[in-house]
Amino acid sequence: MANNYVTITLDTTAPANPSVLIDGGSQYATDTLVDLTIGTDDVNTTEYQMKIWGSVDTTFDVNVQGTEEASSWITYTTGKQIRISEVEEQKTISIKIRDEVFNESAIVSDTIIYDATKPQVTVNAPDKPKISKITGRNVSNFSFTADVPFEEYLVKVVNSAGATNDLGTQILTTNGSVNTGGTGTFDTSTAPIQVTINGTDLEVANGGSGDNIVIKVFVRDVAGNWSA
Amino acid sequence: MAQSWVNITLDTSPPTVIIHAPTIIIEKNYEYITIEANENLDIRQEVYIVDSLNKRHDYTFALEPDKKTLFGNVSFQDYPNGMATLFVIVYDEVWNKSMLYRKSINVGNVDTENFENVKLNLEIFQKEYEVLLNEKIADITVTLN
Repeated sequence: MANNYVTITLDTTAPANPSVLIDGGSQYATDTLVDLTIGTDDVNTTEYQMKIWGSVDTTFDVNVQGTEEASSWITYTTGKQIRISEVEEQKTISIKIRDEVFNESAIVSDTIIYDATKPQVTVNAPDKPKISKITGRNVSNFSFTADVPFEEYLVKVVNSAGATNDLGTQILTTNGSVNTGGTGTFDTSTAPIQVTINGTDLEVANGGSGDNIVIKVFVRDVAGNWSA
Repeated sequence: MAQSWVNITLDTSPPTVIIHAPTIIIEKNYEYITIEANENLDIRQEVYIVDSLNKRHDYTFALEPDKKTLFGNVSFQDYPNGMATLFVIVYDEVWNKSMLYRKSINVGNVDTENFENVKLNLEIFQKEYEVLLNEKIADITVTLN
């Protein structure tokens, strides 16, 4: 039977509680590629759209630009990778969401500090350049500093002076070595960290004895950058 | 530019040595003895000679400037005739201990007649095989032309 009426839904409610997090809410980014986590309390987001703008590399995505006006509406998704601009500074990314009948949410933003500068480590010469495993001649000491505060450090045996932090073998403290790694808050601007290397620990890390074993110190700054 | 690494050498190998000492001492006098190592040595050492009557004579040899040679001028004047044995243990600069090295020294007990026979045989050897012999009381060096 034919209807002699229609029903129309009038929806004037904007998407509820929009949210955005850059890299999961991290304080720092060490890479310009970052991940946005976007959300709303609306359960059904079919045909929803979103707009993203802020401190971005405008060449990376034509729909994501520096201003709201310059950016375009794109299909809503809870995850979106963008590229922030290269300058090392605090970045702000803003978004808003609209539903299928274009009710627009409030604008929400998140910030992140882009810091890609690697900390610089300075290691002083060891007091004993040659050691053995014999008590009395089995210990070498040196100290190191970093140009910025850091949250983690590792003292490793590496194959070459150019090795990165993910290479090599950390020297453990099993046989008496001291300060070969740690996490916390470290600031060596006032006092360097004193490292003690025990011959037996060095032998384990190096896989045997050797001439001119390269021992390198790596630190990770508060932004997450490891020293080179 | 500051560097973020250091080099450390881990040496766990004992030193090896060659003892340079006469094997025969006819005249009981001072004799030079040197101990030549394959690496730098510590001054720490155990050098002693046990004479033919089992009496131990301890010595402290001087470490030469090259750090690899220990040197001693040993008097055999009070040694009894017979076979003495030189024992040597050295330590490298990071105190790795060598094995016990030894060398026999025949002190003042050379059978002169036999020694002359040895010389004679060597002279025959020299003529027969046309080799050059340099003779020096106890050490004999043979150089092939």
